[in-house]
This record gives sequence, structure tokens and C-alpha cells, in this order.
Amino acid sequence: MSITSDTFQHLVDEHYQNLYRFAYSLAKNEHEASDLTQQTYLTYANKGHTIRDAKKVKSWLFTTLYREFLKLRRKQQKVTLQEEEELERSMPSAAPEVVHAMDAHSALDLLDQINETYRTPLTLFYLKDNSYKEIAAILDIPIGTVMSRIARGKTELRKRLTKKEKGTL
Amino acid sequence: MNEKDAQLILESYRPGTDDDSDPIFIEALKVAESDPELLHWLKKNESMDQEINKALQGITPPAGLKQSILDRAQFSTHSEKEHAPAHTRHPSWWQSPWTLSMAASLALMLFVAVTITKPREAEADWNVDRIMDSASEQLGQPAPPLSQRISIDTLKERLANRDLPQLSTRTEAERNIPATEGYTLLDWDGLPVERWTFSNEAGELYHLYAIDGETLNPQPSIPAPVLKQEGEIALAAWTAKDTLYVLAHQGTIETLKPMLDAIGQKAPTDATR
Repeated sequence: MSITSDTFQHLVDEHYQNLYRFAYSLAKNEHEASDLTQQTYLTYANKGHTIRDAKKVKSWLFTTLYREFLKLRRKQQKVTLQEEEELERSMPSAAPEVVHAMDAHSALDLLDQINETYRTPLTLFYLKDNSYKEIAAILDIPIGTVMSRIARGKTELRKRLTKKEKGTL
Repeated sequence: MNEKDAQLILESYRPGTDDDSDPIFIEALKVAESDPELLHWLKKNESMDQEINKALQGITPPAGLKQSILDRAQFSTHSEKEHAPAHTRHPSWWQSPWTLSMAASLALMLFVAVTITKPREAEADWNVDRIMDSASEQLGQPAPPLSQRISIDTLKERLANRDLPQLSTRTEAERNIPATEGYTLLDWDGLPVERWTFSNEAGELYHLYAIDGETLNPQPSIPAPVLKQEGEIALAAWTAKDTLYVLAHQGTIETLKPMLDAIGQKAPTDATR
């Protein structure tokens, strides 16, 4: 499949916001989220011609972003504890856009408390951009597993929300 | 489907999306309609989902991100049209013709200087992963017709005899390999790469790349093939003597394995990169 600049522009218009949201939910900071989103489109510009089915481009973009994030995290795990602490101190507690929209910050905080196994499928579910079948393809897990992880993630989420309402969290 | 199954399925249901036409959700919704308790739970569940979805929509990409994506990709797709693998990020001001011509002149002078003094340092950035990435990209380029591909038997014979010539050892005769043997000499950002193109009985395209391992830093040592799936491209890499081989095919690892066996390489069961 060849990539014209119109196709590319359309794909950016269509998906970059939700890709950024997904990246932000994973990376938790604006700088890395922007980098992941840009890197995803750059990879598409270089390799997108290998995708035969145009319908699969959207989930390909999300898959690529997720893999880029996993790669980045593996690299970051090599950073020493001391460096990590310094890094955290130097990072803003939240990006300006998110502070401005406190609801988004609260939602991310809430999702962040969910077991990581359930968090990523749940975030993709809430972003509403991908069907559960596409989520399965993005995370490379069976469809049934996606459904059970979403259900378990939501159970955890409800528990957290109930505790929050009672003021015990 | 009982109530419990329906509830589990409906946890993944998002009204107003493609889910509305998905048979599995249609069936679960029917169960919910006949069960007031489940229906009440569903309404509460949907309300929570809507709240969280709305909140996540409040995450706004920084101003300029979209333009930055378009700028970077514009440069990258230009490079691709010239069939050169693009790996580095380039700021948009590079796109001006004057800057490009100046950069090209400078690069040429540096290349000549480096080649004369230290001929092997130009390839220092290349490693097996990057080579596999480039091999994957090359599969998207136009391929030679069937008549210009090497037969598997000839390729196997050449591999068995370690007879795939490398740049450093090629004789004058080897530089004139007939087109019917599917041979192409490529230049990947200064890295000389030999490519052999062939196909299986179904006419599906395979590329075998051969790279002088001594030009890589560190020199790879992969005694048994390692496999990698990159999007729709399956790849295998291994070394024999000082040569790195990469086999690339548009398909899955499972469809790559028989070809590995056919050219005399034992396909591993679980060695992936």
C-alpha cells in the first residue's frame, strides 16, 4: 500500500489525538508521550507501505506505539535507582494541559492504581478508538483475554472508586 | 448465554460504537433486557464508562505536535522514494534545497576523507537489529520479476559451498553475476549489502541479504537462526563464518521456517528476537 501525503495527513488528523492520549496514559508525561506519538508516525512513514489492508492501519499505529513504549521502558529500567529519583524530581508532576483538565488527571490517577495487566486494555477500552478485537491485536493477546482483563480491571476500578467515595483512599 | 456470561461480555460493551452491530453484544444485551437487575447494573456501568471516557478526552496533545509529526514524516517519505532506509530524525529546516546541497557536499567530503583514512568506521552504527529493520523495509520496494530470481537449488548450493561472494573477496568474474541469478548489490547508508531474490513454488518473494560481519560493530555471532516478526514481515538472521545473513519474507514466522529449511538452515522452534 503506497503512502501519499494526503493519506498521511488524513491518518494524522484522524488518530494523533487518541494515540497521544494512549501514549500519555502509558508514559505519564507530555515529553515522552509526544515522542512516542511522533515516533509512531515516523515508523509508519517508513514502513507503512508493507501494510496490505488499509483497514488495519489504525490498529497498526496503536500496536507500534505500544511496542515503542515497551522498548523505551526496557531501556529506562537500565537507569539506576538514583538516576530515576533525580529524573522524577526534574519532571513536572503533571503536564500543563492535564493540570488544566483535572478530570483527565484524576482518571489517569485512578487507572494508574489498577494492576498493569488490566490497565492497558482498560485504557484502550476507555479511549473508545479500538474495538475489543483490535485491542486484542494491539496487545497481542486473545480476544477472550481482552474481555476478561477489561472486566477485572473494571472490578478493581469500582473498588477504588468506592473507597474514594468513602474517603478511605 | 446466562446472566453471568452476559455481564462479563457487557463489561466490554460501548454503546454508540461498532459494538452495537457485534452479534456477541447483541446476544448479551438481549439477556440484560430480560433481567432487571442486570439491566440496572448495565446502566450504572455505562455511566461510569462515559465519565472516564469523557475525562480521558481532556488529555490534550501539546500545540505543535501535529505539525511536528507532519514535518518529520515529510522528510522521511522523501527519503523512502529514493529507496534508502530512513532511520534518523531530521529537523524540518534541512528540507531547504540550499541546506540539502551544502549538507550533501559536506557529507561527500567527509565520506571521502573517512573512506581514505579509516574505511570501516562508516558502518559502525549498523547492528543486526538495524539491518533486520532495513531488510523489512526493502520488501516494500519493487521486486525483480520471477525470471530474474535465483532458484532455491542454486542458492542452497551457493550457501552450502559458502559461495555467496562478499565485497571484500569478490573476483572480477563474480562482479558480473547474470541478472537471472537474482543478485543485487545495495548500498545502505554506506554499508555494502548483497541481496539474493528468490521465490517459493507459489511465487512468493523472499530476500536473502549477505553482509560482511567484520564491517559491523560488534561483529555478530549467531550460530543458529533467530526469528523476528515485524508487522507483516518475518525475518531470520544468522551468521556463517564472517558473514551475516538475513532472510526476509512478507508473511509469518511459520511461513518463513520452511524456506529456512529449504535453503539448509535449521529453523529454531522458539528463538525469537
